[in-house]
Amino acid sequence: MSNNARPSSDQTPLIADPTPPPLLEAVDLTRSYRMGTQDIHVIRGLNLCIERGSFTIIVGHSGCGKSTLLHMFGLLERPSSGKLLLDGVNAQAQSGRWREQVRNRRMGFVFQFFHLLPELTVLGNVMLPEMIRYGPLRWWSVRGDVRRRAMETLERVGLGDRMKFPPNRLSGGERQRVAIARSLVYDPEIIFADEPTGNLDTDSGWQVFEMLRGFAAEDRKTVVMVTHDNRFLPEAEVILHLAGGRIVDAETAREIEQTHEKKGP
Amino acid sequence: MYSIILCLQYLLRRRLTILSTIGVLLGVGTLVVTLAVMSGFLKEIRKASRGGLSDVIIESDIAGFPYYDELADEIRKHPNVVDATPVVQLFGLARISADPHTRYAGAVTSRVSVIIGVRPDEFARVSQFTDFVTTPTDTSPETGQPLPPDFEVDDEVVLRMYRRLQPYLLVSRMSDDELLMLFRSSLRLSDDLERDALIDRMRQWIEEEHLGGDSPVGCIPGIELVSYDPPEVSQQVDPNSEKLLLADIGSEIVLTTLPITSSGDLDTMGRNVSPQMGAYTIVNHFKSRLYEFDQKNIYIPFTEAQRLGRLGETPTELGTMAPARASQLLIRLKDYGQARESISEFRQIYAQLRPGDPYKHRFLTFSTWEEKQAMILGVVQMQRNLMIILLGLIILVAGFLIGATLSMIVKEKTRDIGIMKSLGASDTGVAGIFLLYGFIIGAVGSVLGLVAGLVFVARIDRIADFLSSLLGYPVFPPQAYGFDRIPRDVDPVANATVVIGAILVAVCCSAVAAWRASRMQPVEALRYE
Repeated sequence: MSNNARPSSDQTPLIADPTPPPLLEAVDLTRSYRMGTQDIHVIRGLNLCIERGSFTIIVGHSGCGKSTLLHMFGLLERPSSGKLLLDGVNAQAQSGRWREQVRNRRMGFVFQFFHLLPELTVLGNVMLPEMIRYGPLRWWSVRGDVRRRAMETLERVGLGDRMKFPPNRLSGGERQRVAIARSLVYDPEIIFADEPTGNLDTDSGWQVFEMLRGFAAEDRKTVVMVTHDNRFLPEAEVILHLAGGRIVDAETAREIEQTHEKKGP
Repeated sequence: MYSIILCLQYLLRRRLTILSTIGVLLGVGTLVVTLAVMSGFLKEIRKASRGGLSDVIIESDIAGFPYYDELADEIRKHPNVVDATPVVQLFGLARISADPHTRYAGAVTSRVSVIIGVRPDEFARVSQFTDFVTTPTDTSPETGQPLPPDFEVDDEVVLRMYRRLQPYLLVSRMSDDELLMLFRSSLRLSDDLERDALIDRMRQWIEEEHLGGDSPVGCIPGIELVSYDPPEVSQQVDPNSEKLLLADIGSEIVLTTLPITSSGDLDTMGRNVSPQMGAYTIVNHFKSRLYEFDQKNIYIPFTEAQRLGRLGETPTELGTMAPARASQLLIRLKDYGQARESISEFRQIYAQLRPGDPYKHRFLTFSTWEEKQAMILGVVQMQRNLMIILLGLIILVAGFLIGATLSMIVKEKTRDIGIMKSLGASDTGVAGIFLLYGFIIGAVGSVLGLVAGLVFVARIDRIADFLSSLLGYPVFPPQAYGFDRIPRDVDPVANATVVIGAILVAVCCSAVAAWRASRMQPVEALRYE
């Protein structure tokens, strides 16, 4: 076990901690569903820290709770018990409006099935978070700025010539690049990627991953990614192995390299 | 902002949008047309029934009530009264002989009629009598306003009377001068008689030869009372076809009525019930456009009606004179809104008038014209309300169409809703998309419906004509409805209510779908296939 998984602590420190709290901290996080008479525990008492600027990959078998964990981190789903601290703030205790604003301004999402709105153009999709952020009156004053920023971001993901296209005219890889542009455009602190390459062929999958990795490094963004693809593991700074709703293994980049060296030829 | 953009996208990309909009359009359009026509009906009926009446009617039973002039004088002193006039109302028969120059020359028809004795000047002041005569009266040189109609048999009428008395077809085509020449030569009068003198001579001749020495008395019958609608005309679909006027100005009508004594008995004048008769010369026609009135009413001078109904002063067995009687007292108010208060004051005025007098009538009724016409007004009002409710259902159906469309969109767009929510869209923002959708359909549909309805109302006569020629029968037979054109009254407040109501229905019907969309959990929505 690495020091990434911290034991739960309900004690309030008497002296203010001089080191800033981790960006994301899960304390005894649990998620269970009720199916008929049976409780299904998807996440069981999970403790975890995600440090600012880290690139974390969560791996595990299907149904081990990877996506649920990611959704809870992304404030899309509420845990059954336990705490989720964002910058030291307990997200569970906050209002719905606060959670919406956090999702809108501080978090970016990239999904397996791209999840672009078919009614909007590529450019419109990238502008969507900002459209959600601003009311109609404010929108007219910021519109030009938002548009310029969205176009820049699309240039960055190499889709500068596809801005007016509807999403369904793009290939899978291109669509996922649009989704990445959408998650980046408003400069969030943390990007959650739920199997972003799961629906792509090997090459475009790698391309998308590279892009995500590159931007994260360039802009010093925190990335949490769920994947099945072992190719990406050496690139990660932290790898969390999830099984049965618990972290069964956590390794850092150094440890991974060592593992690879041992296995190597 | 996304609510507006996505709402517009959903609006533009769906054929059902057009259907829902058409639904609202039809609902609002028909409601606007119906409101306009029904309100028009009501307004016309009100106008017509008020025109023949006045604001307040004091009425006795059929025997009539005495001291009407005293009462009128007292009531005229009331601050809310413009004028008051007594009226005699008799029930009788009108015998009309068709003019010799019509197709039905010589044919005689007897019709039930209401004989109304009025003082034309006063009557015109308390009612819209002046507006309702078909031959316009002269205008007053002082005020420029039309003068009230009178019963005077003037030169014009005399010429027409003479023409009518000549049963030759040729005469009908003669000019007035030729007619005078014919008269001159028939009586071998000297050539140097002036036109006026000649007409006077003509009047004299008519009185001597045809009226038994009496001077002619004018009357103003309702236009329908002296008209006939031949079956072959009504079957033709020709909106311009006029009914046949049997008795024009100058014709004679014989009125018959049974006099009633002041005690309410038939005046037997001895042993046999003897009807009273009188011949009257038509000097004008009356057209209120309320068929009921135009078909029965005939106006004659007040004193003539008293004479005919034996309502004048009559000697009694005790040697005293029973006072003259009238049937109604019509009162025009300055402020109709104060009618109820004024009426109770009129009651007091009447109570203080000649207390204890044996002839004083005890059963006077005091009512506003609306109360008197409550039957007919109530029916139209009820019809209008019923129509509004029934047509409002169309809007409700359109509303449900909007609701169904939106439910489909919400189901189809579940994943998109999840995406928006995961990007931070609020519940109200998501609900806003669908509420706005309902609002826009409601607003566009009802404004278009309003415009369509107003255009329809503006051209309703032409549309009715077209439908009549298409179907082969008149869709708006005037005698069935009482008006010769389709009445209409566009009420901005009522129309605004319809438009706002339709928008509200549309928004309310989209609220269910909006609520469902707003309640979706982002993760579940994202997983939705």
